[in-house]
Amino acid sequence: MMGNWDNRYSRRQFLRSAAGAASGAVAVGSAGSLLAACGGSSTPTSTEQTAAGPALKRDPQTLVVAMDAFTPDFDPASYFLLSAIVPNFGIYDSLMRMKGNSATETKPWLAQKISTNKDQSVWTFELRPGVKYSDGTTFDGNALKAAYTRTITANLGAGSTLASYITNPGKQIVVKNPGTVTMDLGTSVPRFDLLLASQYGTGIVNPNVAKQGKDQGHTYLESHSAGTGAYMVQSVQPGNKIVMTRNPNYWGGWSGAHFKQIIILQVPQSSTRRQGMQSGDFDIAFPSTPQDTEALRTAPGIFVGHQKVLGMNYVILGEYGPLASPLARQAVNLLFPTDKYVSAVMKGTIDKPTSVLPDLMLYAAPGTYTPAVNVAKAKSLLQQAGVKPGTQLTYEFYTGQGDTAGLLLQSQLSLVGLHVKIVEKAYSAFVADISTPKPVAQRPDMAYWFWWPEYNNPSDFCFPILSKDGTPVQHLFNGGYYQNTVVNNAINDGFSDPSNVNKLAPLWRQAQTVMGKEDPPWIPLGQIIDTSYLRTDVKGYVANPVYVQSYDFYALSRA
Amino acid sequence: MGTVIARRLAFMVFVLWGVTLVTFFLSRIVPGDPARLMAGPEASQVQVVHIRHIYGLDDPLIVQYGRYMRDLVRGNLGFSFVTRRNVRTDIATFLPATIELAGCALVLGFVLAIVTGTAAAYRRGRATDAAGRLTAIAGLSLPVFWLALLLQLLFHTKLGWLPLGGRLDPAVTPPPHLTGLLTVDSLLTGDFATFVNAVEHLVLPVVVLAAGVYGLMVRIMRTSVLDSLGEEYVRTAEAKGLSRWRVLRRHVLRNAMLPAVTVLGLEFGLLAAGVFVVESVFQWPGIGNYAFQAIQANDYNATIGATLVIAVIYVVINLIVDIAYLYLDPRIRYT
Repeated sequence: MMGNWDNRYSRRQFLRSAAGAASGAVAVGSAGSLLAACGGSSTPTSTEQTAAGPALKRDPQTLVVAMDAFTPDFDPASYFLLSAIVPNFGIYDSLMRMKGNSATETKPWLAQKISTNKDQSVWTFELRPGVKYSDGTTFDGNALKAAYTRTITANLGAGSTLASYITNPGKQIVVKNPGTVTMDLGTSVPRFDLLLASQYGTGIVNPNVAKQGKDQGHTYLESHSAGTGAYMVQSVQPGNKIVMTRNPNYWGGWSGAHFKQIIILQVPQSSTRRQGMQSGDFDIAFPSTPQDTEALRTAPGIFVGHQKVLGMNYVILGEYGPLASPLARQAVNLLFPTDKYVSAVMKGTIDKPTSVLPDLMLYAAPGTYTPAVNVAKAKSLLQQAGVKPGTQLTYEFYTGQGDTAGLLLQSQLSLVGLHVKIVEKAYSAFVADISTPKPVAQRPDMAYWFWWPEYNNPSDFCFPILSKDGTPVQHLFNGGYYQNTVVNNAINDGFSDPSNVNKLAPLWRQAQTVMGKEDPPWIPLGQIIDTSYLRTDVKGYVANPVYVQSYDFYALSRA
Repeated sequence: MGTVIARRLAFMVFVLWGVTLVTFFLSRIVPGDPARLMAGPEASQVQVVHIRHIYGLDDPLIVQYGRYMRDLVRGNLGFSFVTRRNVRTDIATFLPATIELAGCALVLGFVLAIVTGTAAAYRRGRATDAAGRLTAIAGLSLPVFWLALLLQLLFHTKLGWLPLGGRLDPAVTPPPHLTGLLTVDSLLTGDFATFVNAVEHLVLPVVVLAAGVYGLMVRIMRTSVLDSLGEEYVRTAEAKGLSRWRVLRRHVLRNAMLPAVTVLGLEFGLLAAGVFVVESVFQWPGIGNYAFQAIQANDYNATIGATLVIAVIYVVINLIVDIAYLYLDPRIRYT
């Protein structure tokens, strides 16, 4: 698989509002011992009954969700934005799903039973019987193969999650009988279940959509849905709302307490989302500003999520120009007041970083990064690195995110005689700046960014942002052109030799120590917390660290 | 009159061509790759190239522009990367919402301003005048964003009298699309409940948007009416024994309206800027919101389409203003 990164690498999640996500959470113990240990958070992750909130003056059987934006894309081969994940999580099923609030445990979903051979390279799935798509078409092994083949070969961006290990679906996916399918990955992949539980590219679409038009039904899926999930699209008004209604053929049945209708509204202004929660207009809302989140934590009848997820906010440090030396990057880290930033600026909507990796991630090694301000040491390190007082650095951020971190850096770096020029860009221009090759003089020395993986895998997390094959030259997001052999080896071995736990655990610890202490690629600002707002009369919500700001609509009901 | 309109329409074609030219090339110069944004940050370069090819983004700029203009002449505004629909369909969806909002705001602001400005001038130096001037300053100086939030907080969250945003309650089914103006469509289809719901949703955004129009117009009307009141023809009319109302309507207002109408055309620019903010705060699915999202996502066709529409409206409104001059002041002749 090595050397075939184009196929290996999929897309991932990014969203304008993601970095603003979060609420205060207690630091959770690590996922120290690999596969099993990275379980759930020790903090409650579901809605808790508090004092009565705003009165409900609308149909209690309808769930109203306020998001900042959405893209009408119901094609598992292409949707990747968080804003598209939210509706599609209720529309499409995958073979596996993450269990409860665990970051590492999965549960069978459309696969009723899952088994693997001795070296974990061939996986066998016994499919859940009686599953039908919303149009009544039966789901079976052939449908699964056709759906995944379409997703992988459509080349629309999202297929590359599966393509990490399945590049030739016609050959690698074998339908033994309508109820049994095997996937030959060609290499040992002990946690293939984690990949299959990802929200990116694993949704199983009705293969009949391929007959809708020349583009394998992609255009059709911009206004229709075709899943086996609990809900289906009733109507879409781009820029306004999506109305979803129950899938009458849903395999889970409708005998319990479930919402009849889901309405997803586009509410771009964070202040409006907050007011809508306070007035009872919305049942669920995407997080607003840290100030709004702080205020809503004490609002009656509103639950503010506090589940730490597998994402990080950070400031990219360019391995070029004044920060080329690791000593200079260590110095900048020693100047950033992380504690104050997390508590006073972000109001606890992010959690203090303990490693370059989020601490619920496989192989995370908390304690390998310890933020602490030390101006004298920073000054000395800068001197050793040859960075003279009076040097000007540029800090770039995109509108709406990262401005305060820049101001803090500007203030702190002035303590050692460095000047910081803060540059604000539009989102698309900013993305272009950190993901397209430019001469050193045109690159920012520091840039605000955030990231989370498609599934719980440090290699998947790190490859596009920290590997030598993930730089803007490859049009990926290692905007600082970071290159470190130890880190690169950990990333590569994590893909090529994922079964060798004894080798990977120390390798990843070493990589995190290198990044946290000796050769920092970033200033880790904080671990992202999912601070979704929910009415407390909405029951059944369980936040999962892998499913960032996503809601299992079928599990929800009103008390 | 016919010649004037024909000449202005011909001029409009050149203006709009200029708009397409500038917007097209400016949007492409701005850094950013819509194919990358569509494919996602982790998509391989192969996938990004594939998407770029699908949408013709890999052709030379001049070829892309030629194709765009050819399609534009045929009424095809291209495909939006954000909404995944034809831009013409999008504009047909979003424009009526903005017309309904901006139209109501313009009418409300203008009518209120005429009444207040005239009353302030007639009662110069009294409480009415002070109140008029104070509200005018407030309308002009209060930031749209702040006023919107304040009104939401007061009339929705605290008092619960008016809805938070949107054009209708989420659960209300819109009336059949006839004009796209929900108030009109609901009345035409006899759906009075939906009409009331639509009007309720209009109140707050219209008031916020009208505040700026009102503030400027009140000041202009007050000054204008004061000037007219000092003219000899008004004194003559009063000396002839005409009623105060008749003097006001036939002699004062008709002359005082001229500067206000002049500004009304320009006021549209201010209104268009306000629409971006108001639509965002009140989750109003209009052209301002659409354009804002398009610009953020480097959605080329949608950006140009929205700009073109705003330019067309601006040019048409100014044409209407010019025609209104001819009616208000017969001495004016365009050459």
